[in-house]
Amino acid sequence: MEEKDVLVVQETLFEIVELVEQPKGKKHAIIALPDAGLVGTIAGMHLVQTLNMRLVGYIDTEVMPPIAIVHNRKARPPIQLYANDEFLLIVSEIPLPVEAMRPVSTAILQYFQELEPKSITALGGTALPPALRSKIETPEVYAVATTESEYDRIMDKKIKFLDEGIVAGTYAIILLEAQRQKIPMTYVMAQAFLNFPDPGAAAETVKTLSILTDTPIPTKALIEGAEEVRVRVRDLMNQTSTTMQTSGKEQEFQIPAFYS
Amino acid sequence: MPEISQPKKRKDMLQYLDESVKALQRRFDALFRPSLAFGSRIRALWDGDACCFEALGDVQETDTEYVVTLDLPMVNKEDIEITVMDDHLSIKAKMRKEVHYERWGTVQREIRFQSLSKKVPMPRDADAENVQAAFKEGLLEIRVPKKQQPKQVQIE
Repeated sequence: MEEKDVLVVQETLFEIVELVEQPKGKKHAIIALPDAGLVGTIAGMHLVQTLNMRLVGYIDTEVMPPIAIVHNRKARPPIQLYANDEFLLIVSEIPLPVEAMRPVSTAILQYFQELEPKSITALGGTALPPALRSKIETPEVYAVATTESEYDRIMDKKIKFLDEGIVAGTYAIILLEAQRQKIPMTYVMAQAFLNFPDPGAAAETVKTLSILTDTPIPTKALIEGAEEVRVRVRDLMNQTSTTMQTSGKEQEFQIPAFYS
Repeated sequence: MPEISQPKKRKDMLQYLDESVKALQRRFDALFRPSLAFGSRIRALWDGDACCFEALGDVQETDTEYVVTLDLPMVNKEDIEITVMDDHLSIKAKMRKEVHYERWGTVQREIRFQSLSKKVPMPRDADAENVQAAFKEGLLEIRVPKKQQPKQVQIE
């Protein structure tokens, strides 16, 4: 891939670099970050493989840990952009530390304001205690939208809303900031293990993404290869568990005090 | 708290507070030691020489027991070995097929992982004689009862 180094946004705390220039208003954007059950990460890995996506850029911030990911002998920041003709995917190869959550969220949303994607969907997990999750064969998927038009879209697609609950971590910041800036987006979360990789939950979010974008995305390979995925992402799950302890992810177990 | 005597003089107060904090810390450590064993320290979760991954785990505590859950994908029930030791549980499981990496991490050499293992520290009040285990869809659930079971108190 030819590196074009097209700088889209550069501010004090972050920069977004497109190695391959992305067209405005043409693609569905997906955010897939490490979280409960690594649902977003596993879904993202599956999308890259299944939809034949290629590395097209990265996001760097001053507040990310000093880590470079080496792929094909090239060092890159851990937050990377993958794309094909229809989708643009943002993934992170490391869990976001609490201090990086807000700058990264700001960077992502600012990038989307420039890029004007056709839709924005964040994929993640909502944590269940292991004894409860293990009894559920097909995890439920819930959505939280940021604008009225996005709520209408979710209603039309007959996807369940999270009526009451708590969202913690990076996605909480992205949701609140997108809502404040009136950026239409939907956070799709599947019931998942908190500290174990959960390909089953990831598959359910991919199915919902498929509905939301009117694009067939097969999940058979993800379901069939689930056990191997669980083995291969153990290290990232372990690191993410540690980060989630400091970002209050376990609060998703709780019922909001002003429950109506 | 039988470990600490009540202060008799004001000058003993600082020492009393210090001992109280230390005792509380010990109780906290004893209570949460199993949880801290999972995930709070970043270290390698694999042993290349032993061709073994460390399994991911989770511990929940109730009034009556500790429930240890281990993620053991690619494992059959008959290939799991659980050993109860004085101060820990040792779990070893052979995987159905090898997980192969051509260039593994910093060692940059071929590694074929064949098993998963985990050592789980046992709290002092764990009843090692009555440990029970069940395995379903790659999840091993080990129930460790507490020696002292809760007692009902009558309200007069």
